[in-house]
Amino acid sequence: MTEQVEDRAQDPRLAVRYERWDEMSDEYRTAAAKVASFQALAELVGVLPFNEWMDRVPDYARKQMLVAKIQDEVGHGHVTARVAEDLGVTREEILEDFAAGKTKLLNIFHYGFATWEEIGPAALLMNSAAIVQFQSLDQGTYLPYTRALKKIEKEEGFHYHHALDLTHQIMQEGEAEQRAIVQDAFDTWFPRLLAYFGPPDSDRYHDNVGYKFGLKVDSNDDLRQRWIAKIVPVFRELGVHVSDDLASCDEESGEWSYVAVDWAASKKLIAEGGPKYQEWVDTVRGSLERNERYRKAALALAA
Amino acid sequence: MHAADDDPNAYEVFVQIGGSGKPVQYVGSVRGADPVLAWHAAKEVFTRREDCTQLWVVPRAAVVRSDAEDELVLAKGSARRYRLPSYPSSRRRMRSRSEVA
Repeated sequence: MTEQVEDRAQDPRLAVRYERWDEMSDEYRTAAAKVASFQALAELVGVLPFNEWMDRVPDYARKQMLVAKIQDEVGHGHVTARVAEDLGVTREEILEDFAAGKTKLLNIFHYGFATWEEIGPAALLMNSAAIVQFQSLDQGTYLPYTRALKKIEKEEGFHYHHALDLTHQIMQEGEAEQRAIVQDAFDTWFPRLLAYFGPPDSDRYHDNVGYKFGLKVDSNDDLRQRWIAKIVPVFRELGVHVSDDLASCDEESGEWSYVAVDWAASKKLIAEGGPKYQEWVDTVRGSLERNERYRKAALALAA
Repeated sequence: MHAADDDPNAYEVFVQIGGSGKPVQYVGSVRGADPVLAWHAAKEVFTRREDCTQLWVVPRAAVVRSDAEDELVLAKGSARRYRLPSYPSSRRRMRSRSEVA
């Protein structure tokens, strides 16, 4: 860890950081806008699978926590969209491009939750992965974005503990059938989250625009390792079985090996849309249409 | 594309967290058609966790901010050793030592 911090301090990619008003190349501005708008969309669409469950939460305190999480995520959409807006990409564009099928969605947001029991372990995997990802990105070079991430991380911490508590409750107090759903959910979602971190590092990952500009700080494989090391012990502690085929740690090197990701299938899913993709597109389009008049009034654009 | 510095709907947001003795700090920005709507947007987005005792929104255009060329002037503080408590203290210690000698 110390080694890594030293590396970062000396990393020439991270030597120059930018405020909104600083001179920057068009290439940098476009790349920063892309990172921020991509996350804004992920936050706003990523909340929909949870939103679906708002009226079906089987417990009052749990419902309060879920509503808080949903509001948080929409707030994260707002702060990251603000960053993108200041770089020239409006929030209308972010949503309209998605509604028009022009933008791709992260693989994990193409699915919904079939049962209440699935939500805890799936959200725990998602939140822990997001935290690992954000704690790396917040070391990046575009300061308005890194500040937005630091605000987001505080709230993600709450989502993580909510998901942990929900999974714990089912593992401790649930029926055998419910615990089996948790196990299934882990086995299903773990590989999806492996894919979420992106393709394995090729020898050309240093040429990636985001990486070159220090917007993306660490490599996909580094982040994947960091996440597995954090989350596998958490699930074992909960009583979920993590088979060696799925993930196992080399005692000597500390390196994790993990199940092979089907990258062709993952690419196909993102290109063609997963089980819930069309529903989310329709939801966003419907929302844009219903709210058009109010949106224009709120932004004083109404003719 | 250009930085929307002239965006008339942009408001910078400042919050005081941790009690009335704490500084009011910059946290980010919101958009709104007027200051009151902007204040409510800021309340929803930026006061979701710790208790907030002050929430300010300021039209972006009203902010006078430093530029890169001001940096040298602004960073001079620590270069003026004579403004720091250690400077007179070190003089006093040196004087005491020479008295003893």
